[in-house]
Amino acid sequence: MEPFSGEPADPGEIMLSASAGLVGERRDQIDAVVCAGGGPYSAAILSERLGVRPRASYGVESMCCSGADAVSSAYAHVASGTADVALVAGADSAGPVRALEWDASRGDLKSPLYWGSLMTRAYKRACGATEEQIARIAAKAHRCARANPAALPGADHGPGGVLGSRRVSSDLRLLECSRPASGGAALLLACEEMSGESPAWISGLGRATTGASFGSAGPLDRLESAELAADRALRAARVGPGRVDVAEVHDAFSALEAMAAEACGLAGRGGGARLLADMHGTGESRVNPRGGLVGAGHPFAATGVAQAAEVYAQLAGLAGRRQVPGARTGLVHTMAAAGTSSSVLVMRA
Amino acid sequence: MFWECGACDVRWRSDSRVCPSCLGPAERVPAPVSGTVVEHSEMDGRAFCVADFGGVRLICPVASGKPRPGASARLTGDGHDVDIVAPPDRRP
Repeated sequence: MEPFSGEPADPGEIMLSASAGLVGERRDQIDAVVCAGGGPYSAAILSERLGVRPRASYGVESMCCSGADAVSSAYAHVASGTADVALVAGADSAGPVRALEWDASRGDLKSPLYWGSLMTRAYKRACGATEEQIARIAAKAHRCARANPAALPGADHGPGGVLGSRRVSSDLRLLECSRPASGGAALLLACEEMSGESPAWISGLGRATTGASFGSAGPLDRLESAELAADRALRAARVGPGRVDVAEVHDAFSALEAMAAEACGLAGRGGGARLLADMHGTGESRVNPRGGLVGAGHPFAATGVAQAAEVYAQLAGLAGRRQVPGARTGLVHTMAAAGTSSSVLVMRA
Repeated sequence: MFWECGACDVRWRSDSRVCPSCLGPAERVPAPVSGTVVEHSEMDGRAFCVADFGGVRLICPVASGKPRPGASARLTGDGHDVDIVAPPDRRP
């Protein structure tokens, strides 16, 4: 994991830094290099810089799902036997917020702040979630991020600090929004025979796409693509959501952490806000122990890799101050473009 | 302007000349003028909403009126202009 920063940075350099420590003596074993972010031909460039000559090297682009989809793609290589060891690297640079320009249903209101505001209000309206609850979810994120050495610099804002932060819209406060970041992460995926010490296992993958434009996003108060993807991943893993000990979900905005928790079955319909708000009071961190995108930052294409790296660390007992005691089953959820698509990974110790 | 498939009676907003239902050719048609507010918010003192126009949802700035879910909305402009007029909700 490379520390996140708010300053623009070269994604290629970030990928190299994140990957170099992992590759080590395994350089000759790596059959596939899959990258998220980093620009054209980033996987081949990374391979050359690392002195790796893989069979397959390519990039994956699916907006904010890129990182998780890169992990899924590498997993497919290992599971199918086309690679014994695969390197996944994700990196991105802080900069202007990206939006899907093709989506004409957003008119001139392309910024994610618009759909984030609309979905936050719709969720509060449908589920009775309060501004105080949403602020406590954000406060949990900022608290957890302070135990994450890779997180963007910040402070342990309590709910009062969140409620007192600048209103970005009538439904969003600044400290309830994810922050663009430079940063990256890398993972090695290996077949059982080639696995190293303290492995964790990917036991289920799920993907769902309900469209691309906001106009096709389905209900505003639920994450339909996340519901479908989580159901597919959990079925593949043959576990129920009640077995998930630790989860990383895509909190582009704090209310969306509640919606994602519900979509993944971690809370019942309308119960996500209370579940997560209560975690702030109890000091629990089993959902978004890194601090999520709101607390730790959002290096766009790299976020899914960072989330998967965190769940791996949790399952391997390597998460330090963030460790969720006894974590045996983990889940990663990422989504793109107002939730029009989602990726879910289920992992086990 | 919207895209429309005459065979399927399906409409959409973003550029795609092929019907997502039958994969047949589509043609550009004027957007329906009247729609319904689904949800709304406000940024920098400016109201905006997502409204449904004949099955096509758009995010629009609100030119006048107070948006509420279920309120009627009226597109102004030529289709790329998505200002709407959302009259106050008169429901009880």
